[in-house]
Amino acid sequence: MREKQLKFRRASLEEEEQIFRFIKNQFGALSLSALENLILWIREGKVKEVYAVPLEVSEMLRRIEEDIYTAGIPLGSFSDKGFLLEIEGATLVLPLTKKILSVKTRQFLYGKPIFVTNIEKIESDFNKNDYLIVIGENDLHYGIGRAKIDSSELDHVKSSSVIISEYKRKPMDRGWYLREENW
Amino acid sequence: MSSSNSHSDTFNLGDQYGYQRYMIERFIEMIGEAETKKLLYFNERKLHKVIRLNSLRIPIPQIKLLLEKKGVELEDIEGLPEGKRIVKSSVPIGATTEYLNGYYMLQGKNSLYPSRILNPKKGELIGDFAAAPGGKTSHLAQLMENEGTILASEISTNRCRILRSNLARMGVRNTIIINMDSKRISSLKLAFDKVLLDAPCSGSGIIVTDKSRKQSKSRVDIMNYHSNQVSLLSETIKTVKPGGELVYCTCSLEPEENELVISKILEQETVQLVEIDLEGNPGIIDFEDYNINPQIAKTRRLYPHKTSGEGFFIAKMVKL
Repeated sequence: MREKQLKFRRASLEEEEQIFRFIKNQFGALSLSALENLILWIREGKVKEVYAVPLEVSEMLRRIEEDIYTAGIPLGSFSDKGFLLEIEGATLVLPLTKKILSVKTRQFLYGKPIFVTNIEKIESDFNKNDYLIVIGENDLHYGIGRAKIDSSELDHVKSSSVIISEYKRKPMDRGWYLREENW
Repeated sequence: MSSSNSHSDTFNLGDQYGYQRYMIERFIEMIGEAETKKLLYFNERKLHKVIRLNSLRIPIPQIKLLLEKKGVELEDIEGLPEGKRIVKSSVPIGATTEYLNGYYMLQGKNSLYPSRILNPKKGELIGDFAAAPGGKTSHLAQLMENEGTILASEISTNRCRILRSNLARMGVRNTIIINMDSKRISSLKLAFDKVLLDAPCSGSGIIVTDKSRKQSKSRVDIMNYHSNQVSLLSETIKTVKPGGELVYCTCSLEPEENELVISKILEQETVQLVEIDLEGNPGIIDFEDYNINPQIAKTRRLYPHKTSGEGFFIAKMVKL
């Protein structure tokens, strides 16, 4: 019998392991509790997207099987380099981590990079290539990005140095929702 | 002033505002001359924007406070604790950081009623058919506190993308989006506790926000909408469990898309209308030569000029 090709399917154990490892390594073991009572599902397309789904909804998904577009919260996606947390995944993790960069300006929301001069404060030290959750005015969530330098270098680099680069085609900042509307 | 003179006044007003003649004739038949003029004048006004504060993200009083700090002046709406009218704003309300964080949704005032009238409960299986862009879906999720399950169907793949984006922004986690014609949902063999069907329609109730609707639909279009709405509602009823409830609504003022759809359904299906406690007018039971079931008076019509919102028709039914 031909195997059914599911577009929306449960994440494999290996995929789950990669997701957990990314979150734990980047944001600490405590942040994994953000996924409590949620089941991970995968949407297969050009990009492999990951969705976190409550148990009850997950049971229903098993009964439907066809024509599913998405379900639950979009957590992140897989690329050649592995799993990457995106905006809504970062929102889940935000209350459970100290890997937070607070900024004074809003340009990250417009798909622009964050410079040294834009930083308001950092919650904890970080290394180059670490992922940081970006917040701004009134501690509102702005998005997630990858550090270009170590936090120990912040006092020594030029004020125009980029700390987090922009992402044009990935939902990494909350301005994505407005840009996506215009596509 | 004679009756014919007054008629020509109304037609002239309709011409001046760019309506098709048949629309004015029908408005007069529905609500009379004086109310038609009020409706036409009202449709030229700019409506205050309305937002729904989203308690799935943070408590409503906190959202209110954040917006007020930004210089957004909000006014309560009676009977809709999560709905706020924007009286004044010094910021673009559709692009604030709070908006991007899903703290609120821009939504027409009267479009907040269908989800409230459906009254979904935590733990229930709810259907939301023809769901994009997701204002009502995320409202249902808010009323359910993200518990239970919503199945939101949308036939257009592109509109599924918009639906996904809005649900993600609003922090909705209890929803499955299926890219499917709602007429096929009965094939899934599910038994919904409650279903909301916001049927595709001519949109003559939203002229106040979309002036193109004065010219975009013909009488033939209205009849085509009617056929589609009857079959859509008939298929929807198949998906509801016995004793389950459904709400049918449109943003059209045309009786063919509203009362006549429900009248036909009452003949064909084992459903009963439920009284709705809401502002507005009872459904029309006397229009042109149509034979309309008197029970239809239990449905509600929300006229823009009488409710300070977009035009809506809402019917609630229970499946026997």
